[in-house]
Amino acid sequence: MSSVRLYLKYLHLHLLTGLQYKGWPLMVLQVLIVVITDPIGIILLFYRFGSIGEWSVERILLIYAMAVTSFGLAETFCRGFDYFPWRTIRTGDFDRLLLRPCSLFVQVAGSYFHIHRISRVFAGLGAIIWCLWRLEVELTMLHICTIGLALIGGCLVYAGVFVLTSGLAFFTIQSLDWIFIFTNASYQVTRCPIDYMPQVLRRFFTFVMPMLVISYMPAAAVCGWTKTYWLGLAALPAGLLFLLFATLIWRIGVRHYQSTGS
Amino acid sequence: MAQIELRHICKTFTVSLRPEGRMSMLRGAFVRRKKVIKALDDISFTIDTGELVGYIGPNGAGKSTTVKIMSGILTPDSGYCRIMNRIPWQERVAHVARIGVVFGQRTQLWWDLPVQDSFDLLKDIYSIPFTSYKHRLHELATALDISALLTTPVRQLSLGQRMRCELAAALLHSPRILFLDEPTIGIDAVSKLALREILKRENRENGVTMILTTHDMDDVETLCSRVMVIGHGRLLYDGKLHRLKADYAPWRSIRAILTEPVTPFHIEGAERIKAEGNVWTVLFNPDIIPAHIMVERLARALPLRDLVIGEQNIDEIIAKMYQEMCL
Repeated sequence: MSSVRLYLKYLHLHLLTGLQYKGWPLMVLQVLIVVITDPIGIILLFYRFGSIGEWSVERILLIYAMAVTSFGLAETFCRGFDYFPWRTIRTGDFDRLLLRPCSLFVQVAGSYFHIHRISRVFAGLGAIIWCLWRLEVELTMLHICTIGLALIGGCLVYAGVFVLTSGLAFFTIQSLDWIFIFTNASYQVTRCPIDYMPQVLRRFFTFVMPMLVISYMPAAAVCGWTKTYWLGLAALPAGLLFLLFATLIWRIGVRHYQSTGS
Repeated sequence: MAQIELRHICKTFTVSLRPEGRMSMLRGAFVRRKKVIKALDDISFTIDTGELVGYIGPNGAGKSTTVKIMSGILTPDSGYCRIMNRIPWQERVAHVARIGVVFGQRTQLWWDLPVQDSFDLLKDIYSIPFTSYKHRLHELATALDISALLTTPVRQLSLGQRMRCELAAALLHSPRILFLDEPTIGIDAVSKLALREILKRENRENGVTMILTTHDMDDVETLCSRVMVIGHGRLLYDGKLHRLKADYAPWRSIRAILTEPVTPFHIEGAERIKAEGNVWTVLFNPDIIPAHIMVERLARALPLRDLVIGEQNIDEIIAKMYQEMCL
């Protein structure tokens, strides 16, 4: 419980720091523009050619928005892990964290926080609601729960990605760029209609990194594209599992750091 | 029982070297030669509660590695280390709750926020009860004269002011052991004195054990009763400061200011004479020739205007010691 309190305290301080700089509304706007312009290519394409089979622009956008929102949540609340490989470990700040009698996990997660990152979440949520409205999905309690759980699960998956990256950063700092496949690139994948996705990729993004589990499956369940509704609820357990795995790697990394030093 | 006990601690690091010669950058990207460096080579010592120890040695001698092992950041390759009945790297959280660490070149305060906010966060990190936190903060703020700075953002503080706040931050949770890594580096005289004063007081009143790594010999001289010298990962000297002086600097020095420049000539009893303009520095051994006789001889031979007798500069002693030990 004290960990949660400490984490909130960190967020509070970061919030104060952020507000010290006058430019923060501009930053919010900046992220918003990035988020909105990102899928514009698809939208234009669909606008010109209509839909691909039964894949309308709303469908694609819904799945995409699910992924983006999850990513945004993780990015907002676990920013510290996102920065960890590039900043914290290089500057030696990690030593400082090791000197404090509390969870390293909380300290790293709380080491950076940017309020403007949350605009990605709002943009994503807006897009989800718009898509559901256009697809004429009735918002029952069950559907709302499914989507909520999916977003939490998705947030955990992305948090897992950040934690995993940080764990690997203990072993190699230079060659970590490929990790972007899991972060920024991974939600681009969701823009590709699943029916046209190669089998290999589909398996990869289901069983290795559960991207589709947190975006396509809940969307399919809510919109009634499949008959197996329960698959849509798999997001949370999948996210938990992935995060657990990542935490394991992170632990190994910390141990490695302690035995090798800088 | 000793509060800190290290036995046969060894630690090696592997560093990769870039190949030399032409195209070295290119080859370095693919092939790397590994080199093993012994950072600590069989270090053993014990420190009792309330001791104030100066830990000195040239850069790269292994000072920070030792401190890192003692504070639980690093695991040694071999050896035994027990601090307050705990093995630091095995019970990290319990261990670090009772120690404090000050890095002279790194800050633990939040750059953009008032000092007070950083302290509040530390209160939560160390779970300090509210009343004792208030009391302690007041005590430290008065002693370090930082009450007026608490509402200032850290980025606006001078180095000396920041260092004082830094020390307060490290002492907030009343640690039993304090590690100080070059605490006085680059700060002004007033802050330096304030810093030393509070360190002495903490040590005297609360019995806090302190281990101080520094290059500033004044720090060692004013604070530490015991010094440890480390070089190439080995402990070279461990004992009282005055014994170190007796072994490596048995001489006294007389600074004689003359009315006019005189070219140096030998005076009986003087071990070494250095002349710079109208100032002579004469070294002699007080065990062989008493100081007043040496002064008398100088007064007879030279047109004296003024005279200062002192010990040899401690920096010179250390430099000489490093040299003798081939560092």
